[in-house]
Amino acid sequence: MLTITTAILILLPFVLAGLCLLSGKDRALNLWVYLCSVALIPASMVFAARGNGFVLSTFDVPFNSGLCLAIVDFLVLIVIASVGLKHKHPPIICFSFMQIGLLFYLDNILNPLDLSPFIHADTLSIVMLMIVSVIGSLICLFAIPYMKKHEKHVLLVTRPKRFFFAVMLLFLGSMNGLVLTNNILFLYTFFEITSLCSFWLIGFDRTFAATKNALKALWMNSLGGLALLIAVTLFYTHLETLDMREIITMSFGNASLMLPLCMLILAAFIKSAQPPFQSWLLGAMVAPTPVSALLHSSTMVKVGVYMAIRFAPAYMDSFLSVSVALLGAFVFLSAALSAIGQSNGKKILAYSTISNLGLIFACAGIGTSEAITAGIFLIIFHAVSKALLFLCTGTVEQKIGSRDIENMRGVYRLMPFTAMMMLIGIMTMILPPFGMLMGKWIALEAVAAINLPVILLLAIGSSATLLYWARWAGLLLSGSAEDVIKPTSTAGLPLLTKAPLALLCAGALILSFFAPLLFKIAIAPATEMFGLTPFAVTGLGLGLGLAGYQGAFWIAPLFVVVIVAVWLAARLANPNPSAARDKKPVKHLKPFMCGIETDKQGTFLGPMNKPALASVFNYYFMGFCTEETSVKVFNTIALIVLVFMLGVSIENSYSLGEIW
Amino acid sequence: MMLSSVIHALLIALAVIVLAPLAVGLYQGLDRKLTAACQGRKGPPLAQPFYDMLKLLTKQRALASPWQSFFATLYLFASITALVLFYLGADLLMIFFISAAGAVCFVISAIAVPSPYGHIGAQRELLQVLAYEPLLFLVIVGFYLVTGSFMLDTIAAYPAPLLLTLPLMAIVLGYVLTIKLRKSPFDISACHHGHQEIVRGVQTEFAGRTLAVTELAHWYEIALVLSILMLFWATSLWGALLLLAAAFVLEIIVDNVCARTSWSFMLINSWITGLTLAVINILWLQVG
Repeated sequence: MLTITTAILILLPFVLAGLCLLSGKDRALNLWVYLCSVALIPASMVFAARGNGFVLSTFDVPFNSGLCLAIVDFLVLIVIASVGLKHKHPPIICFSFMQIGLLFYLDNILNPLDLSPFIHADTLSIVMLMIVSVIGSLICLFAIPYMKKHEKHVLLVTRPKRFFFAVMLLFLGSMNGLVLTNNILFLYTFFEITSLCSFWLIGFDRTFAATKNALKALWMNSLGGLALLIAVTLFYTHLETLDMREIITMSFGNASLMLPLCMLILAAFIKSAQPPFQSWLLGAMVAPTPVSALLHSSTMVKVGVYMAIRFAPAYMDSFLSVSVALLGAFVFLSAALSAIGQSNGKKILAYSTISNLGLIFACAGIGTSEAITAGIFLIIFHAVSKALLFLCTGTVEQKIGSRDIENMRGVYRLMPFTAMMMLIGIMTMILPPFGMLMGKWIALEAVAAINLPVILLLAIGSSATLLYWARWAGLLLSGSAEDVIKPTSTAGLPLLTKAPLALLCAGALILSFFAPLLFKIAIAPATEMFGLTPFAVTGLGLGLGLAGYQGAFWIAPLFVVVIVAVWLAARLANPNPSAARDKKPVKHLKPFMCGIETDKQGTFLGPMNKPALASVFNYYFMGFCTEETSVKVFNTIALIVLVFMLGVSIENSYSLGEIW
Repeated sequence: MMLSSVIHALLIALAVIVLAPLAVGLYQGLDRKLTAACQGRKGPPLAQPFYDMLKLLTKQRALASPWQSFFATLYLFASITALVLFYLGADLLMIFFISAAGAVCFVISAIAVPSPYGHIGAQRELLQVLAYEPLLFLVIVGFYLVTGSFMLDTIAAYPAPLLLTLPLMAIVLGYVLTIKLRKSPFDISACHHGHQEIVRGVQTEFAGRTLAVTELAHWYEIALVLSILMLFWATSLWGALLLLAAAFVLEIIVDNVCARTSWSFMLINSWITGLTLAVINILWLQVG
């Protein structure tokens, strides 16, 4: 039963991707995408219900998995190399050929009777699986009407749409494989496939920028792939196993394995677009919005943090863990500061992703059971809210033709539904009692006693985060009383646009409410190896909240307050006088213009007694937070830490000084 | 058992909701009296803040935008919730987040009206949040490092006054209080004196009841910061009151001797001085 489910989760998307490529008509194409979503969501649920501890070894499959693996590996590398050759891109050529050489070497020394099971599911994999399958599928469904519109965009020459959907499905399949596998060489294979998929998706529109950014993503991720393959080779030469569980237990406290662990972390950093490698993710936003949503929320960048958390027991209490914690916290702050300087909505989302991933890395580096809990909470809730925000931004962009948040002023008037979804998305990113904030709360309590520099970085980063979200949320609603009361929205959105937004929004709210339950079922088992369970679920049946040794988060009471507050606030804000008890008419005020406002909305009496439009913009800290100035500094600092990390790891692994 | 504890909690909540505005209104009234005395004026009656509040509350409903009123109400709820949770002995860090949520709602309600003055005020309010949030957070971390808990009942039950171990943190909280009370030199976003180029920036577009709601929410916010200040001497009521009195006098002196500043001065000054003081205090706790 579970074997079939696994096959559906991993292989079916590959098969359907092939069918997508072959289908000429839109209807057939849509059918395969529907089928994939309809299959993946229940399959992941079945797997979540039953799959904990499920092991699938090489004997259980009717084909020679080792041989298949080698073929797929070389195939992917050859495709990457040919891309490099076609575009005459030296780094890609170089990294892919180095990987091919290394893989030849590894395949030669590999024991053909290696028995490491290629699938061994635990709660962490199941959490990731759910994120990929459910959110990923919703994004694919959203993409159907989106791409229809995108195709009609006159200025763009794109590749065929069937190619787009084929790669999206391929992406989901390989992500499912990546999070389920227990064989580190399989991990590497899926890692490479996701790199290749992201290259294709980013370069989907045939513009100069798209090609350039796609190549950038490919070379950076190829470097990540190379680092991962070096790690695999070193692990194998030392431990003679590809079994990830064995590798993790055996490398704890083993100084000679510091270098492969460091390489693995490096691969994770690149995949998660941490500085100085963040530019590939920022470049990725040239792609159609569903791609950005997929890369940012449920796939690609989540690979890095997944690896960091998966391998956290291996580098716990070492030099590496301290560096990862520090670098992660630094990224949390620096990316938040970079986001402050942006008015481009997608860039704000991108920097916010990088920032939150930094926080998750910091949690992995701290490595206590509380910190890991925070990390997994953040992965889950970030995936839901960020997918929602990207899809909303994309919907708004298709309507107003801009992704600049300054142009989203008063977008509520134009598209009330999408603006509401976006508003709730932003709220769930920063406000209590929602999941993201709860994750942040756990993270802050986890580091408070441990690491002073990390606390400082998180303290400032946390308030910077509030700044860029709060003003965006406010802008969406900006408008005079009449605007808000009578929104001018006319064109309805297709169901496949609305439904994913509504489902993600509901997901963010409902999951937050059931966070204690989520913790008990899905997160606590994953943190067992890091020490005692950090929280007890307190209160009645569903759980009033989480209580730890140092603090408690009261979820249910806060939800009650929020519901009452929203109900009452909506009542009080109702401009209809019959809603008010005194039935007095409600006065509508016009914005204050120093007493010289004119009849035309938003104008004042300017020079020559002509009406002049009053306009305001956010303050974007141009003196400090621009990409030209501060980002370079941040990149340099991050690079220094990385080089330092690598140096210490090499020194630890080989003690070169002593040999000399 | 269950029911009695719920009733107990509700009674505390009720007491806090009623008493806090009375206390803060009185504080504001005293503040205005003493400030007037410093400047050789007579000043308004002691109960003037209450008169103002009551007058605003009885005005006709006037909205610049429904969203403005919506988020102003949420701001009030967040401030009240934070303060009630404080006196219920909840997690201080969670309270900190809830109070920050209130600040966010306030900013959103100001930006929801397309007004140049309101927008500039809202941007400045955000800068104030950026300036004081890290400081407040570090104060809370300081409490945790001494008492080993974020739970207020544990912190308040700590046997020795926290002022002895966290004296610099008390100064850091003073920064937060100055910003929160909208005192010079940190009265950037909602200054009520003529010396700022934009008076009452963030509140420009609020009128009548909506203005009263934001004012009331602000009172609860001040009550929260003052309550946190009282934690520094939680072992004795007289000690706590002494701290309040000291803060009151110091705030008035600072307010009267300082000229207005730019937001960048506020941000840099509060971060550099505040963070340094906090770090020194934390370091000596860890070393000692």
